[in-house]
Amino acid sequence: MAVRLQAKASFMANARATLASPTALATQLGQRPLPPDLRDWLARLQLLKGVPFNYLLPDERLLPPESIRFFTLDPVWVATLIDGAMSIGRTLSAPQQLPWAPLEAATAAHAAPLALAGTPELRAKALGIASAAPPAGTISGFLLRSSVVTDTPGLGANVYPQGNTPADHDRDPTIDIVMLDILRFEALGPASDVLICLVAGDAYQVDLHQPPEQLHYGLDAVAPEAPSKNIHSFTVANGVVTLGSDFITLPVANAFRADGRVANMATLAGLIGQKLGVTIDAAEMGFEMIEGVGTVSFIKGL
Amino acid sequence: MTQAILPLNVRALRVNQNDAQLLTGQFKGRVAQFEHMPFSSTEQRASTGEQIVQPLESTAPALESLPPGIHLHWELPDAYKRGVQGPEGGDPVFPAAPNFWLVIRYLQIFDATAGAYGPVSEQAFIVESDYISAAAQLEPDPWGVTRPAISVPLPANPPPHTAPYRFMGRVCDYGSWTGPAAGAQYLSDFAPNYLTSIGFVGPSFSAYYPECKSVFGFWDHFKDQREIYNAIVGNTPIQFRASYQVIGWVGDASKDLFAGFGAAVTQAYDDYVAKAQARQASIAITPASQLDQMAQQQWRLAFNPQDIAFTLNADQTIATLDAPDQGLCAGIAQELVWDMLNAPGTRYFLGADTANPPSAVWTDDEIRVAVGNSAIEGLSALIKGEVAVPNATPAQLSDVETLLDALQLGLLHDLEASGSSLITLDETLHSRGFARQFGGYVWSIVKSGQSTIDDSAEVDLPLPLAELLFLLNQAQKSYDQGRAELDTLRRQLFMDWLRYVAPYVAQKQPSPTVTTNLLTTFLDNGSESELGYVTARGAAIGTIDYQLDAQSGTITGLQAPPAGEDGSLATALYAAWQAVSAALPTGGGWTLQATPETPFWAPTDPVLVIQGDRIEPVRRNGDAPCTPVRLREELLDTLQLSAGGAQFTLGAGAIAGPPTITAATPCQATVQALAAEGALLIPMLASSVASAVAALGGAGNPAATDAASFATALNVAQGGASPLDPALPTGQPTSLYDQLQATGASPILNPAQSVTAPIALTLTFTNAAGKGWTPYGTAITAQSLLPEFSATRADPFLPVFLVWEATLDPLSQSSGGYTPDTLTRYFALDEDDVDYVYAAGTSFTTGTPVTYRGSVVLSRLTTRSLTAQIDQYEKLYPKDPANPTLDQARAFYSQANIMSQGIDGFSQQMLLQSSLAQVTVQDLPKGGQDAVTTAIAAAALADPNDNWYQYAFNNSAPIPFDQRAQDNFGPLRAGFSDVRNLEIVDAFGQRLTLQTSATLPSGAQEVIPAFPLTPVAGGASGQGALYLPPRLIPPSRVWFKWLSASFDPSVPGITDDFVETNSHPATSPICGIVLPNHLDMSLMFYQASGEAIGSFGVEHGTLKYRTRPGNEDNAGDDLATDIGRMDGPPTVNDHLHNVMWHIAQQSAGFLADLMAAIQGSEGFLNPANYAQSVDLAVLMGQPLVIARAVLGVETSGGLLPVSQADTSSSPDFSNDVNAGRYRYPDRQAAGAAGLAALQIPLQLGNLANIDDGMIGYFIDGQGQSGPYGPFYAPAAKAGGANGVVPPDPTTLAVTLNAAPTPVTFLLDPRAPIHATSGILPVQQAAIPPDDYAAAFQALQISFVTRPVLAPASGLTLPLPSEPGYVWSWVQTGQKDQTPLAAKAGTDAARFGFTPQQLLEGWTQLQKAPPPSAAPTPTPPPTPSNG
Repeated sequence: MAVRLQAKASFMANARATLASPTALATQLGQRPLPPDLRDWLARLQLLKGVPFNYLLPDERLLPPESIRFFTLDPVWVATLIDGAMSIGRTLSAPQQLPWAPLEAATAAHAAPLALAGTPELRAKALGIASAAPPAGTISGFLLRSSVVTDTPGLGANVYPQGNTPADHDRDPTIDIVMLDILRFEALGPASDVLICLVAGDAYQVDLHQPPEQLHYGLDAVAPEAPSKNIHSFTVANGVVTLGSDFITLPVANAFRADGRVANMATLAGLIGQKLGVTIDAAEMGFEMIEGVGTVSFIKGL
Repeated sequence: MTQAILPLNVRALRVNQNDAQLLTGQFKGRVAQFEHMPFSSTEQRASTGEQIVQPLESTAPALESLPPGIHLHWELPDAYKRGVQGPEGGDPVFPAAPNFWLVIRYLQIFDATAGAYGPVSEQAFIVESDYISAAAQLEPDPWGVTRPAISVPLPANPPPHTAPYRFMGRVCDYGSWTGPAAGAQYLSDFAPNYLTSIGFVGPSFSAYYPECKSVFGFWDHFKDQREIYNAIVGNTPIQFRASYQVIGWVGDASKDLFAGFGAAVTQAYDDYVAKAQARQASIAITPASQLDQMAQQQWRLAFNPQDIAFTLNADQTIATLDAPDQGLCAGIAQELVWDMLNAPGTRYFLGADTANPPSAVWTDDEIRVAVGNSAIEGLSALIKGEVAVPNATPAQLSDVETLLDALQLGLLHDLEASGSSLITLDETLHSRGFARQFGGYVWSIVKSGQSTIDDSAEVDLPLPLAELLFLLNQAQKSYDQGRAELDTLRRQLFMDWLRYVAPYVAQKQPSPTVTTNLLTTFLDNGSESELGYVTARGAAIGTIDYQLDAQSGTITGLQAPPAGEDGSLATALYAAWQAVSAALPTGGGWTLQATPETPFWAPTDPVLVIQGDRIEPVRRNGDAPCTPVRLREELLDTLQLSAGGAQFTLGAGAIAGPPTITAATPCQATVQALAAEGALLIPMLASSVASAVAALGGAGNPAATDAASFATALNVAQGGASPLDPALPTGQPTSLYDQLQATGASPILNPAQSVTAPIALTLTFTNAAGKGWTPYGTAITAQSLLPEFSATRADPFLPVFLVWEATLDPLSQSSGGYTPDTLTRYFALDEDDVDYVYAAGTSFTTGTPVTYRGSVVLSRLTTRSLTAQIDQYEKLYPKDPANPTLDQARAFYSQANIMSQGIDGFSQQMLLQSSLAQVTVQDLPKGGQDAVTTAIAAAALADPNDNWYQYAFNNSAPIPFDQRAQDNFGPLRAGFSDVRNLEIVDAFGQRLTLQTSATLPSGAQEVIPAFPLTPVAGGASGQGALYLPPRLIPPSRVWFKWLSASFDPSVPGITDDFVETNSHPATSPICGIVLPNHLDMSLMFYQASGEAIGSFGVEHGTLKYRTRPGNEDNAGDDLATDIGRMDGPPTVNDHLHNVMWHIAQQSAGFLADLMAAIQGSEGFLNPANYAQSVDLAVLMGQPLVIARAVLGVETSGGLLPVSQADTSSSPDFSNDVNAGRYRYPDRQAAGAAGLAALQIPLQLGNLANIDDGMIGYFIDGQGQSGPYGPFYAPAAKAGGANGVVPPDPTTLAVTLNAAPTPVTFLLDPRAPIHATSGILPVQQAAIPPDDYAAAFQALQISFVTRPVLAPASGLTLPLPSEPGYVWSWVQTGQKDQTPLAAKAGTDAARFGFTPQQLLEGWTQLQKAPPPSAAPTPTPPPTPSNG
């Protein structure tokens, strides 16, 4: 009689052989997805969520009040972080002779891109927006420590890579403006004045702006006696609007009602039309009166 | 009160004058022939068991042959064949079998001129089964015929020179019978005897007509019918037909199966109700279903609960219950046609088809035989070819066989599940090749009222109590082994006496080298003789009786031993039990309970699974798991007919024919009802039924119109006509008989049969209450043709015995027997396997095959498990892709005639012993002149509490002389075996030889070996034969028990760690805990209580001990400070101390190798109970424990079999006698074929089994300076030079009955450790979860943590919260621990942490102190947001 169950012996041999070969393991793992919980958890780590603040900022003097600091994520540091996280319960070193060392390497290699691909979904899920494409390449970002963070709820950021900023577009209209996908943008803790932002790609210009919903009609001078508005001059001929080259200062004190606080829109429109010598409609009224939000641009130095 | 009617299978064999003259003399006859016992003073033969037995394998002609006439044999219902045996062995107790049988015969002679049968005549007989003849001679029956009767060994202890036998059973004419005759003797007059299914013969007694012809059989010689009798005897033409109804009862109602049954049911039901009410549970069963349930459990009888009448009291207890208090057996053999009208001079009923002159011996020469260790293996081997794909390769066939094995064991579906299912399959199959034998008792302390020990009943006893319990168990084991030893000693004494008494009576010398005088002295010479020794041992061991719990039947205590047994093991056991009882915690709640200890295992004999056309499995009592029985109220007594719109109702009592049952018959009315029912069912009586129906009158009465057609229509509805009679109208619905005979058929309630020809009728068989049930199909039999025998064969062939002949080319021995290295020299045990194989090309046998013969009662257990398993499997997994293949297997199997049987006695004969009829030790011819016999006979009965006969000490005979003794005394069974002649003997003694279509050149049959018996491919020897892997024939067990981790010497008798004999140890065996940390290559040691000690690691290439984190008292990392100096005294557990000092003295390479071995083991470890405390396990990694166990192999009684040979080449017996070696242990030294020195390797752990927790072990006492030598780990690298080595086969080799070897294990306690010996079933030992779980929970785990950034405001770390545990930080070089808050250290931006520090140290997890004890460490204040 031979060993009864050849299958058993060959099972063990196969198991060892498969474990020994990272290629075979990768084939075995194939396109297998990670369990959703695990994927989310690893994605969170990819975005430094849960990393103690004193590790992100070894010395607080690096980030004094009212400062912003730009950085690029070190992929090795993040890989190490994930490796540590995945080592829970594993009190093993990884001597090469161990059959499962390649298995761990293979699963880690398998899990990392899947976790990274999951990163945009965290924000998408939280905000209920469509998920951005999975990040590829560098992840960069900044830490902002400012009263702006606490005082300006809804603060926003537009992040542009080098070569595709609005200025580049202004210089050469054939250049498209590219905005980098934001992976993480949040205050670190409740009522915290520190904000972290991570974007997919290498940030070159960061425009911090007030919440976009704050677009409004506004005046340029609000001196009590002489409020005024700088309006664009334009002409309309055959339905074509042509902007003039300059601003015209229009005193608007007369447009206010008796209490001096509430503007009479019809009067205001009349004033504008009178100044420009045209009758304006609602669109032209909006064009003249709307004020944008406050924006601060930071551009990476060389 | 009512009666239960059990179905009785009655079969008839016709023997005509030709058969009687030529054929029945060739049949096998009686085995037991008590009348052959020599008793006269002139006899030259001794009055021993061998004189009265003519084994079936003997070629001598039968003592008496079947005379002409009809021979009836009825098979006792299985309920009467179930003996109850105590777990300790002893003789099983069988219920009293019915001893009175009413045989009613209906007879019709065929009138050849009229072409029809004449009127029916009736005659009733009484068979008094247990009638004992007044003298030792046969008596004529009322018709003047001297019937053959069986002989019985009565009176039991006859004086010398008087006949030691009588004849049993007689036939009376029922008409003149007035009950048991006054003045006549019956078996029960010879107390304690009473009639059972085994009689004085054994299980074959009631099943084999020649053995019980006058007891459970009836020979109808027709002397009361002159015409028939003359025709039969004169061999002149006649045709007639007969039907028989047989009704049996137990004469003494108090001994009936059902006596007291109603009371027992009432008691059980009322108890159940009381319990349910106490628990406020609803009452889910009725008294009727309780009755049915108990009948199923006790006798495998099934009632119809809806027909059992009962009433309840207001409190739900039983007021009345109409339970049966008596059982009646009833069956019919109908329409037996005797067709001797033509060629009476040459016509045979029973002749085999081939021979001229006719032969009685049939042959099936196209059988297929497969052989396995068990019927499962054999069946798989037999049918694998039918299931596999066409032209399957050997590998594919082997896979199919494996799957079939798994299917039959119910393991098929799990085979693909995760876990070690293939190994489980291997181990299960392997263990099926062994039979368990009682291994003694083991005591445990359980909560009162708990009948079984389960996990929840885990008791952690105070150490002194646990030690007392150990002492009790030790005493119990000594006593149990002592009793087993006595069995062996007494049997040997008996066998030696046999060697003495025969030559003594014959006035010869026992052997060429032994004189009678010498043997006399050897046997009986005061204390200096075998009898003296055996008697002394009996006194030293004593006897004890157990106290049983009345309800559960568990053993809860001991009875005081009889007076005068002072100093015996029994007395010591009783004292030990008293000590534990006295020490049990006061206040009650705890009780002692004994359960069976690990059993001993004896190898089963190989099982033949045979397939052939003429082989019909024996299922005379049907294949229902429980036999359906009827109550008297369920008998059929009414025939309702509907013909052409007219309805008639006939009471069965109105049918003429059945005899009047007299008042002499117990249960008169019921027997009368049975006879009346017979009139409804027996086709021959149809014309009587027609007359009774006609007498009903009324319009459209079909019987009045045409009685003959009515009778034929009734016959069509009844069915079961003889094929030898003219055919009935065809194209009719299935007859009642055919419905009842269909496979799996059950009794039918109020069956209605519609017939269309010759007249249209609907007949309903029912009773007045409308609950008439037919009997179970086995209770009605009729003639049927057996075309696979011959075209004209109409008599049954009912296999009962297998007579076998096999050879064994046995394992070689040297002059002293087996060499100690026999197992390792010839065989190898693959680490993935459980059984030994030999290397191809090795020669390990003697080359001299020995022939063994025997006969065995065919198992009534059919191999139908296969179809049942397939059905079950497909029901559970309807979409399994294997199902079509399984269907194929079922289809093949269900139409094949397959029978399986172990060849009993094969192994026993290798011990040079054979079974012997149990006859009292006596010397009838020599009487009082024979002092030796007188002394032994007296000794056997000397102690009324310890009657030797109760343990069957006289059931074996030695095989001293023949070829078997010459060529093999083989207690270690191994070698190559061949199957030679096979023959089946049927219930009437008919014979059928079996032959495979091809034979091997050696003349052996061509058998299909099951996988484990297949010879190694390519080997030079054994091809075509069966390979029998090595097996210890004496019952043995692997003794693998944990040792307590500590002991309390204040208890007298305890001087060392003691064996935990329970599977649930009373104290923990865990000596310490080890936590490997592979990250920094260290082993952290903990005490069993969970307190940390310190760790070993490798620093700068050397082994370095470091004390536990935060231990300021041991700044120098000194091992002695932590655990005590190497030479003691230890401050931790002794063995933990030893292991740690052992490691401390090793090199860095040792630790590296050890760590590698741990890693190598744990990767493939996935314990079944991994899920327990999983959260903590995730944090800990894999804690291991150090625990100790003992390992050994022991035989039942601690003795080895000794050779009985007395041949010139092996004169063991003569040597013993001449050397005066009357003590068994002395004989063992020379006569046990070297078995005592045989090295039995034990393979511990199993890397391939993910449910095995062993990392490795030290064998205690192997060290030069310390207790330990190398650490043996299966996962260690080969040739390890640093003291960590893989074990080889001889690493742990034990000898039989040697003191067990203590072993110190390093193991993962979540999985058991397997001990594989190959020659015995795999034994495993596991640490109960409670023990390690408690230790793990208390574990103080330190996680090396480095480096971490510590904010200036205080250390925070992102730690999970573990309920019940607290975290703290232990800083290198600091004594105090800093509590750490869980879930601190988040990514929330809080400032004020600068400057930060880099720290190295340990995070520690420990059990939170209970709220009342120390204050919970408060987490540091949360740093404020800077």
